Amino acid sequence: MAASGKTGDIGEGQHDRFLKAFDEYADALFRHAAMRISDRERAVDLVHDTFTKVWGYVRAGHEIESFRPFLYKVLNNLIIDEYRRRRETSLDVLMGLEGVDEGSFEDLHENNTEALAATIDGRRAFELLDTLPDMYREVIVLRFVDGLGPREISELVEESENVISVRIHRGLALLRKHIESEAAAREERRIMKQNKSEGTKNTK
Amino acid sequence: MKRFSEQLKKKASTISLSAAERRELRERLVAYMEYHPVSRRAEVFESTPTTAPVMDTYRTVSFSFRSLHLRAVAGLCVVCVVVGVPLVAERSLPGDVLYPVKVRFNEEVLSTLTFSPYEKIEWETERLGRRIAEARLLESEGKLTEEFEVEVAEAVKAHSDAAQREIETLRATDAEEAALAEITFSSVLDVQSMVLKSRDRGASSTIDVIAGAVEKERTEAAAAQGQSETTPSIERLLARIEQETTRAYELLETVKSYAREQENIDIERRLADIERKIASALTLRQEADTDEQAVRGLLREALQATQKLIVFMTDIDVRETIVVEDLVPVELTEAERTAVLETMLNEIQEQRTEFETAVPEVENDDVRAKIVASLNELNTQFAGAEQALEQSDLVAAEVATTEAYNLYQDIISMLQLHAGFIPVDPEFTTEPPTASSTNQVVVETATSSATTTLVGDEEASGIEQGTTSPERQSESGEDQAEE
Repeated sequence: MAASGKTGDIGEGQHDRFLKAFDEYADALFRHAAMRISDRERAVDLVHDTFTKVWGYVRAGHEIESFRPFLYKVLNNLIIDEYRRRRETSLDVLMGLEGVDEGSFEDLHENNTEALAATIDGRRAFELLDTLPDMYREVIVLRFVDGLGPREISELVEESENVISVRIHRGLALLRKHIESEAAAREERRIMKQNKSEGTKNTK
Repeated sequence: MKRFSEQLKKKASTISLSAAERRELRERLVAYMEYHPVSRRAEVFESTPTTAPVMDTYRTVSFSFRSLHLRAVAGLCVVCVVVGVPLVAERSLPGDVLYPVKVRFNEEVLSTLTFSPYEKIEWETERLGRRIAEARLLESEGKLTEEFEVEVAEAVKAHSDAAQREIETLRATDAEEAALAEITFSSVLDVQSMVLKSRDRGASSTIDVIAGAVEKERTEAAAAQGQSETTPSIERLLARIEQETTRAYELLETVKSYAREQENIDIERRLADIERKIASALTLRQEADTDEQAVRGLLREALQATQKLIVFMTDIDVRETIVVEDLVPVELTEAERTAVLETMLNEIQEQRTEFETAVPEVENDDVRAKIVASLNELNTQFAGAEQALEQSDLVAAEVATTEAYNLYQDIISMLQLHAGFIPVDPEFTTEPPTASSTNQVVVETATSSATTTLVGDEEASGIEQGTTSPERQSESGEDQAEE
């Protein structure tokens, strides 16, 4: 992603390449940040910080071959920092949950993940993504919104591909569970409302 | 899965930057990039071809043509001289063989690389700082002769004059930018002058001529700034403050790892003071019938304080010579000011009851009458201070409290002399408590609104510069608990 070599365009060239990267990826990075932290203003700030940090790297004389993975890496680190700062979720505890567990065969098999995803309504999933722990939200957004492959995600998150596959599978399973419970709750409310209106009619 | 992915993507695509957000973000980034350009060193590195292709060519040619081989060696020697000598010269000091290369070649070349008048002023200011740093280094090594000292003083004047000339040039095209440049120049001179003045004035100190030259330039710069008819607009001041504070925070992040914890706390406190000052300027600006000059004055102070902090963080010699309190004194919050006043008033109150028993013991009638008169005046000022505090009129409270405290000290001195009076507090000193040097105000809540206590001298020795440290607060709390 970033080469330690010192070759490449100088001055203006770096400047233009960097701004081109901004034009190309600013929206995607913002979307990613907003979906991860659910705070629009903060997401804008994180995108700004991402670009200033990467510029710092460029101005130190390093050449960046491909901006996309590098930008995602920096943004991801900033989001993790943001979570640590908020202390809403104990990251260590979440990380500990994964630990050395590389998942069962069912979790690992890509076909099973596909089959599981096929059973989920993407629109409902979008609405309930917030309810997932960030560990799962991170990989689901990277995989299904940003369109990164398991290998790219594994490099970004610094976990093995197996761990990523397991995480995606478990995230989807959890998401489906949330969608089902939410649908059940909605159905229950609907029935209660219906019964209530029927009761009112009978009384009349 | 495709369907799931498509649906999720479609919904996610509703989240995007608005055109205004995107434009603003891009502008912020471009401003940041302009303020932090690709360093010249990095460009030099980058423009240097990698070794492998050079060596390949060299090998291919050398085996074929001996004469070209020799030419390549000669060329390399020339490159070494052209690139190496200026690099080595950068570390030279007055008296070294390569010093003229540093001053008359390296720095002049860099001068030609600065295009805008503002950059030129910055560069001349930096050159001035370089000369002073060289003089300090020579002095510390005991090598600063009178000859070098005069040479440095002349260089200081030359760079200062060049900066002033550039300011005048800039004034013709952009008077506000020139005014901002004047502020920056003046801030740097303030720091350098303070550093030179605060150096040990022992027998070995031979830096007086330079200190005098810098002080003269500082006074002239301040006078020129005072006479200047243009003051930067609020927007321009705010924009420059934004740039400088961003840089200050970045520097703080950089120095955090190796600076002492107390230094970090001190700098953070000053940055918080600056933020508060900006906020109060902005509040003042919102008021009807606001005095715009007052707002500009506050912003100018904030800008100068930030620039001084930046010099403090970037110049190791400055950090070792002076403390941040000398450079940017701590500005007490309202809660802290109130705490200081309350402590002073409490102290007076505690002793006041003792006075009544001590006064009749004074044998000399004139002295007794004088003490009684002072005591009456003390009571009046004390009541005035308490009333002002109740009305949250801090300025009036400070005036009345200071007056009361002076009277209180006079009375104690007279009673000690004429009635053998011993103050309740055996460690009584004639110095009023302050929150800036020996005694520290500790505000025990983050909002600075709850209980405030004074930490004594012993505790304050751990806190050098009028800052509120959470660690100290907890220690203070533990001490009180033990008592």
